[in-house]
Amino acid sequence: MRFLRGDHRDDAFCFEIFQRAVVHHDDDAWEAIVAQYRGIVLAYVGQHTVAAMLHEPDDYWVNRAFQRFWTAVGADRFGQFPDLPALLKYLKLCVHSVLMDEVRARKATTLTPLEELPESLPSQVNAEHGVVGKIAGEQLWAAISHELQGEAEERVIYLSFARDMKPADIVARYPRLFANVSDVYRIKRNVLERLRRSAAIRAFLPT
Amino acid sequence: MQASGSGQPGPEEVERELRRTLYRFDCPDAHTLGEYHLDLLEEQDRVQVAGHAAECDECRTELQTLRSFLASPIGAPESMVDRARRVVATLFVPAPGRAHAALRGAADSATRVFEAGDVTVTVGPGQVRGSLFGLVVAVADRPESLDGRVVRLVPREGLPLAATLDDLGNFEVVGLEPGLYALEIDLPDGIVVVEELRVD
Repeated sequence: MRFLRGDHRDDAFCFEIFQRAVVHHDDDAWEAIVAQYRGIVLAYVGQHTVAAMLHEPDDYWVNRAFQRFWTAVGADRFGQFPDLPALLKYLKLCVHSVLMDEVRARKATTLTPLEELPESLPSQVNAEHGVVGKIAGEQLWAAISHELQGEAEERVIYLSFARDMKPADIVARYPRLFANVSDVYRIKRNVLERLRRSAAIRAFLPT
Repeated sequence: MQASGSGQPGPEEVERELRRTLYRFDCPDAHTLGEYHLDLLEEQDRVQVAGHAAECDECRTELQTLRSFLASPIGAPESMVDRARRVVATLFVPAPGRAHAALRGAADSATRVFEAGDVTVTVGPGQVRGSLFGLVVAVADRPESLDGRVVRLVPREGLPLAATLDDLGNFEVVGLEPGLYALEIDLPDGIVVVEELRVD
């Protein structure tokens, strides 16, 4: 294999290795990719603005990024990548997306500013829960929607919980619905009290 | 979840659960947003994500983060062979030689001795401004095996300058602009690198 002999900096060889790994499911080629690009992926992690806030070893993100790439790019999609730079850009996207998944998961548990993210997720939370979490969210929102009375309530609950917006921001965005932040606080308090008493909502809550 | 005295969950517990379950439940996941940015989505998905991102501050922020991240330079791949062979030379001892302002390593003295395993590299300023003399001694290699080996002075910006070793391991590079350089020496067993040399 010319690539492993060190005929380096020829994109065609590197691209060929990716092709063998992805299209032909060549384990040796995949190992070569990980060995060759581990350093670059590590550099990508170091470049990302949120990596330092998540307090995980860089190697953890490198492994997850390669897993993400391997999962996301199959033989059927390889044609979307015309050359090595396109593949490396996608690998870089994988670094970004595994980091942002974690940021989203941690923010969901705290809804604090990014700088104050917890150092790890609570044990019951899994940043890779994606699809399951999305379905759970859609089902819960559907149940909540049945309990809401009018646009103002819907806006307050949706923007507060789904979008993490502060009352002042909600007022600024919908001045026709809310005169001031007190309106938002009052509506939120009333709705939460209603949801707390709702049997339909309690069914979604852990016992 | 803790229940209140009536068997119903407390308000704080309800609020916490709503946050945990609803936070960005209708947003595309980060990877899908990224594929949208790279124009890798099917038309239907692309339109859907575009519509969502147009009205979602969180997704727009995430896209902006991605744009900045992707815009930072992608490192050039370096072959495994290269990486395995590169050895960074470390400053051994500043020679007490001539006081000369043209070349600076970690200390003020003009001539520097670097070591990388059994390779010793001595560098110092040449006779004229902007020139560099050096001597490479590789214990494991016969002196004649060094003859013709390439030495590169790689500036932080711009093109490298190259010279070759003679049969005694000497080299000279001329025409150097002031600035920081890395010195790379191609030896039979790999590349020895002096990471930082300042030429004034």
